[in-house]
Amino acid sequence: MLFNSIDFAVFLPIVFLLYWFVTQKQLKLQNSLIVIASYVFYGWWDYRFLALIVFSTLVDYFVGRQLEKTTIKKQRFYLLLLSVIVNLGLLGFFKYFNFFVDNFVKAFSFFGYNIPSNSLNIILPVGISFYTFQTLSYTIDVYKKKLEPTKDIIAFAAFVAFFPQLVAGPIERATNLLPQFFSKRQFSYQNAVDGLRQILWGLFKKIVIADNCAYFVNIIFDNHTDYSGSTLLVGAVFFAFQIYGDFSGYSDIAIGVSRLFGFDLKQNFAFPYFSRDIAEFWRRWHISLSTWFRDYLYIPLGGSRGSKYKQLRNVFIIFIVSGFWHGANWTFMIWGFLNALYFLPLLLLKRNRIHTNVVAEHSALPSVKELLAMLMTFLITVLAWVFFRAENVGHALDYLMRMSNLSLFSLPEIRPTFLFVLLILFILVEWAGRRQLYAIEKLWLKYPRLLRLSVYYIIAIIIFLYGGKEQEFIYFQF
Amino acid sequence: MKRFLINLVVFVSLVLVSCALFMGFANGSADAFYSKFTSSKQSSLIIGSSRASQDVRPKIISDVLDGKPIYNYAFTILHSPYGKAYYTSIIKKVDTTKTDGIFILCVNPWTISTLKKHIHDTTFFRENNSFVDNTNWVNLKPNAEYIIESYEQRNIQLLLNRYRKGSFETINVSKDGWLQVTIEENDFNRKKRTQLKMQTYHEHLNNYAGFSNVRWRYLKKTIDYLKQYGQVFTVRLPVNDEMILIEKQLVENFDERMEVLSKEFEINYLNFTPMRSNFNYVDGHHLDNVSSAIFSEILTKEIKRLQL
Repeated sequence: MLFNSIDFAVFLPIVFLLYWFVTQKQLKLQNSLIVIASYVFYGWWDYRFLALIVFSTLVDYFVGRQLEKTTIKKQRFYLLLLSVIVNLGLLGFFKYFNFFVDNFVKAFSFFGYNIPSNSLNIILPVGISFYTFQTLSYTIDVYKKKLEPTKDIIAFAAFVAFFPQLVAGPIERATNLLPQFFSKRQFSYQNAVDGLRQILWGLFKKIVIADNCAYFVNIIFDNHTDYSGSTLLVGAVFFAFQIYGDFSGYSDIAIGVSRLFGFDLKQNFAFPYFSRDIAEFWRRWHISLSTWFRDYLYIPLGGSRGSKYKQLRNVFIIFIVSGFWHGANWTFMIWGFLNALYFLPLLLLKRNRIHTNVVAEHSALPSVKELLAMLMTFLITVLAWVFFRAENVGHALDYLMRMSNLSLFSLPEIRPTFLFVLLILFILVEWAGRRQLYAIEKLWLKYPRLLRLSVYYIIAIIIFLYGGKEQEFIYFQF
Repeated sequence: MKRFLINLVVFVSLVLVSCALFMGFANGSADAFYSKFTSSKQSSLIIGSSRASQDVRPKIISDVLDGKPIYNYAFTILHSPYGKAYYTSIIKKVDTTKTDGIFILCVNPWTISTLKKHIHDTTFFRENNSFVDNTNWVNLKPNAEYIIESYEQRNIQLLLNRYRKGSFETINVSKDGWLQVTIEENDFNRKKRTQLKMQTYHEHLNNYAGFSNVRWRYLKKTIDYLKQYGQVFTVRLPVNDEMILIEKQLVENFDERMEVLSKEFEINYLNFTPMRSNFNYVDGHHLDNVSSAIFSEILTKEIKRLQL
């Protein structure tokens, strides 16, 4: 079920009313409703893959319970290993099996041995990368004794399958989300209104920004040989906004929907395109995944401790693995590798943590230096996004080659005025709200209620006018 | 909670009413299909693919038939070949209170063929999940279901398309369902367009498996159903020589099959391909606006003759 669909527009109010009017007196009942609603939400896409979620839930619940019962290090380690093998095994099979088979075959044929390809027709279950990481975080935290394992299987199942963030995150930590299933949720008018506001902004980002950019991105990327360098640059810039609007829009809707049910999810995007260097960008982009890799991969590898060689190795590992997490394609790994390269000078010069505050925190406009730094960071990000969007490495390289010639300075063949205007307005609103959790969180709160509501009304109407047929979210495929 | 729900309902209602009002702007300029789902149920229909949609003009037919209204409910070969989806949609569109209708079923090899990849599948065809399959309300104005579920353009185009000017390739669906395509007309463009179109259809031959038993069965079901409500005519529309050759490769004995079918159902099969050289085409298989008017008149006279 897509957030931007009629199905969801019917589903959400039904679950909301049942949640607050029918099941609110019993916590267990309320959690059970969440589990059922989440399974319906997921099963709407393909009910067959519900078995994977249930299996993953049962395995991690069982592992958690057993970890509580034993103090023997070896046993605890094997239990952790079981969880890791099951979760990453599922992910590996559904997401990466064909990739490895194909590359294995290609490698052999390169050396003159032609072996038949036995790739399977595997459907990638929506959201598998997200919920497997979420359940893994639970087991690892229990193993590390950072978290008490739960005995409440309903609460645990609700934590794993919580529908607002089930299929595209944010990847919640058990330490943050799981305890919220144990305490009674109280309806808060302010929280609910705030949730709706965030949903509205998320829909705007997805339907108005991302989907409209996607239209031109598809034309330009699919026919890149027909266009000038400047048009290809426009295509790459549009893709940068498409992926941001798509993914951060989804996160905003997920967080907003959660708030309607009295849950508090972590911020997943913190205005990443206003970053002054790539390190800051990665502290602001897909925060739940970046911190997951930081805590469960980067730090266990040694993090920024040890020799320079080890630090560099760790940085490359985390970025390339992060790229690979996005999809079984070399393009994603190169995208990760490029970001590691961008990060390299900052690490060597120990300048990777100089921008930890919000840009122009105490002023309305950035300084020229800040502006240039933001533009530079955005530009190198855009170049990396070309690999992310391209069909294969050859496509990306050819795209970049064709972009890097004198036609870069010509007038683009594709220049949709309405989209440029929308993007400028979008950037201005995002800039004005950059100190908040999402752009319009507190943006118009000081205005009279009627005026504020009028603004929300206009946003809703723009969503309708500039929206069209529902489009799937990009991150569903990851 | 009460305050929250009241405020929410008021706000959402305001937005929904505004959207509904805006949808009222939509007309035949919205796209090539929207309007066809907004007219009332019809007692006479023109059925088929894009050729039927553009070539067969209801107003001319109606004029020749002394004002008897007929509606063009044809779409494209992607959406309305004979099959379950189109059959179901036709049933929803027919006014079953009358039994003196005229039903012009345009047929050609493409409308009864299937793709190679679907040849063993008796349930799945590429029009499944298209707007023809998904639109449950085919007589609604404004048709919110179509706009929300199937409209491919940004909704603002519902309004902007009304004022589209200066473009050489515009489409407009008339109130009687006829799809008028205004296209830049000169010999060079026409030749280039025809060349490209024929090339595309030559390529289609590689993807098509040819005659489909399932589609053929649905053509029969459609005829059988419509016969209850009036007279049915199967019509093969004129196309250029090259398209005839392509279609011969797709389904070799198409006309013979149609003749047998016509006898079986005691209906007429009107094959206009022998007089194909009398018409002008915009791309080799769609008539231009002048030819479509001439053709519609010829077709109607033939129908009138057969009715006598």
